[in-house]
Amino acid sequence: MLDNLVLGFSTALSFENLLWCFVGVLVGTVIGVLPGLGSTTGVAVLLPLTLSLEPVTGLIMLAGIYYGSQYGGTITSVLISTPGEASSVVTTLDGYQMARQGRAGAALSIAAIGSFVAAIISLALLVALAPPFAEFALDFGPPEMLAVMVLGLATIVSFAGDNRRLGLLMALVGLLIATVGVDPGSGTSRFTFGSIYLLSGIPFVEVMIGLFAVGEVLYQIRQGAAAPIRAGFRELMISRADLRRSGGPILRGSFLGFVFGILPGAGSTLASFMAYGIEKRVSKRGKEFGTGAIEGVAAPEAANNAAANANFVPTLTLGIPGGATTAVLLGAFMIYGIQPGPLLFDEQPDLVWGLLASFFIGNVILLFLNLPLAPVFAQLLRVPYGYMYPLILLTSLVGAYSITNGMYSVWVVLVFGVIGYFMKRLDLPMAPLVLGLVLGPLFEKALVQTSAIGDGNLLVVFTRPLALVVLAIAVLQLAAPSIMARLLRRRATTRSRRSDPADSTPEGSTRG
Amino acid sequence: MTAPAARRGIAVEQAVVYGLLTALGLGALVMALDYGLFLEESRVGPGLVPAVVGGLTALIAGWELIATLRGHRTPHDQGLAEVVAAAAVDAPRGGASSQSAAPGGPPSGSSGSMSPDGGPVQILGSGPGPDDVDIFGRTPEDRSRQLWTVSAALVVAALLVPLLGLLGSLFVLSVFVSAVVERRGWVPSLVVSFLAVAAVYGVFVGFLGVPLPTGLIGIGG
Repeated sequence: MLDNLVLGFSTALSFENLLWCFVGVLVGTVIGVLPGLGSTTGVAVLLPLTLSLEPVTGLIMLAGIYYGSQYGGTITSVLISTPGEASSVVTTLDGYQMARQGRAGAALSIAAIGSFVAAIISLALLVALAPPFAEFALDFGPPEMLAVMVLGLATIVSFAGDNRRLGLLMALVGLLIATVGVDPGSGTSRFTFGSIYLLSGIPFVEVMIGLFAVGEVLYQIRQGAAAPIRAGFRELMISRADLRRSGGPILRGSFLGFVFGILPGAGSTLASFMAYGIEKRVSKRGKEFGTGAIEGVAAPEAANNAAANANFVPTLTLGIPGGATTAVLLGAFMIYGIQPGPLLFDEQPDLVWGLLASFFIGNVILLFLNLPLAPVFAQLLRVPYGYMYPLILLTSLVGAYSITNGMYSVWVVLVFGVIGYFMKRLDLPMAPLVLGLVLGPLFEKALVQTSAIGDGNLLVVFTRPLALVVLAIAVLQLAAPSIMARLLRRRATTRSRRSDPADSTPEGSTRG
Repeated sequence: MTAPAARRGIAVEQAVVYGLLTALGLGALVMALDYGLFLEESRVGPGLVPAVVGGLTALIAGWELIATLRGHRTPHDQGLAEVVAAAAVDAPRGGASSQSAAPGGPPSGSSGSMSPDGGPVQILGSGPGPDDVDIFGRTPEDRSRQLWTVSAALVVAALLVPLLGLLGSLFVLSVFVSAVVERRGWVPSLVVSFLAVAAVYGVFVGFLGVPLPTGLIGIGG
């Protein structure tokens, strides 16, 4: 393992890789701060820029954008209670209260420190766990991969959206889009309507740029402009007492975040909510939560960063992305001609370890960028959206063109831009669609191979114990929300009844 | 939160989208049957996945379509994340305070709102609500018109590429959006657009060496 780390750092520390790592985390922070731009949009729009780079360099930069935007999203959560990323929503609760008390500096510092500590812990775990996991995954045959993909889809359906039926619908639409083109099993061309463009399928990155960049711009136009933001700082320094209070929450948040991030399909959002909830229960100052308790910033920020890193475990070892942004990153791998999966660790050790080592470097850069410069980044909040979106459109369209050097890509972006607009407007979750689209071809290939193994009998999946366990988890996940909701509701009702019998109105039992 | 008119507008859009998805699913199912569900020895054929996926799509979308037509609003509180969030964030501090806790704010998407002091805080630059006038005094109708103008301008710009070249037509697009849609002055619009196009040229052509189409009048080769 030490050899691998040395190899990784020697790759990541080359001048070119350092430079692009720096560019990535800087741009990522800016993207996280800018309203209306999230990590998925950022990675999708900037992916074409990396096509001329070495694959490892390109991936280092794109990954830098991903975790850099986690830092940036926090700035807006704390200062204006407007999270740039869903995973920073819970940070608004205490972070914004701290800012209102003039302690924005302390909140941002602890968020940066917490994120950094979490990143280092989760990276150490990632480095330690990913290779044995990849080794283990080498024994996965098509039936096991099939089961894991079902698990990934089930997870994203039950976590990503706020309505499971719509999440499932979107995952299905993603799978359906993925069937356009030549069938992986028999070579039949499907849904091509005689078009040579459709033969190779609907291009993935163009779809992402359309959904996340153009669709988002159109949606923001419809939403209208918000008042320009003024942010003030009084003190930047974080006190020793603050640091002492935050130690435990950061550690707990890091481990929790890692566990959630490792699940294929579950994201950092859930991790941050869980970390906040648990911290509220175990902390001595639980009652102060929501009024500007620093623990309420430290724990979720540590958790979402740890989860973002842990997301790379399923992405790298199984080729199954953990969330929407890692799905786009997976698309980048495929464009570079690299197939993530258990073999990646053996076949391209310099790429894998270089990428992992760059995470350490990137997080160090982020810490040094964010501690002194958070107020500077906050100034970006004053840029009106009206100036920004023509530039986003420009970059998206030229970027799309440059992927294939053809106008077809531009048209795909425009079509999916309109689709993305309507999905946002109607609250249809995007993450399941993205995952369905990415997994579609892999899923079908595994299905064809499984049926070959079982001589046409797909039930062979149920004879493989590992596949069976994974499928059981998937089913449990889809059923869990209803069961948990019922349990929580029952508990809430009994508790309120016990504490105040007169007050047990039906209100308590309809909630949940 | 939203006025009845806007809600009806959304419901119509929902019905159209679910209708289209139902049709899409059914279409896929029918076409997939032609591709053949199974090969010899009942192995998975090219039509199986599209048929099953298309069928399920049609089923769920059709279900949603009927629900929308019957005026039923889809509840958005069923996901595991929401349940957990509701439990974690609004965890009762003991006693009857759980009664006053609001339902858990959804962590995802644009519809969520959550604020420390109980007031509405909109997530992710959503600015004014869908029915409010924004800071430039634009009504929802204005913004809707802007949306369609920008969308149409995008299509026109793409159609103009063979004539003006990619950068040429994107320059026109940027000037049009800044000056006409966003009603900024012509001079700043021209300057900003020129700088933006120059930056894009520098990165994509100068740095990445992408051959962008120059069009009939040869801009930006």
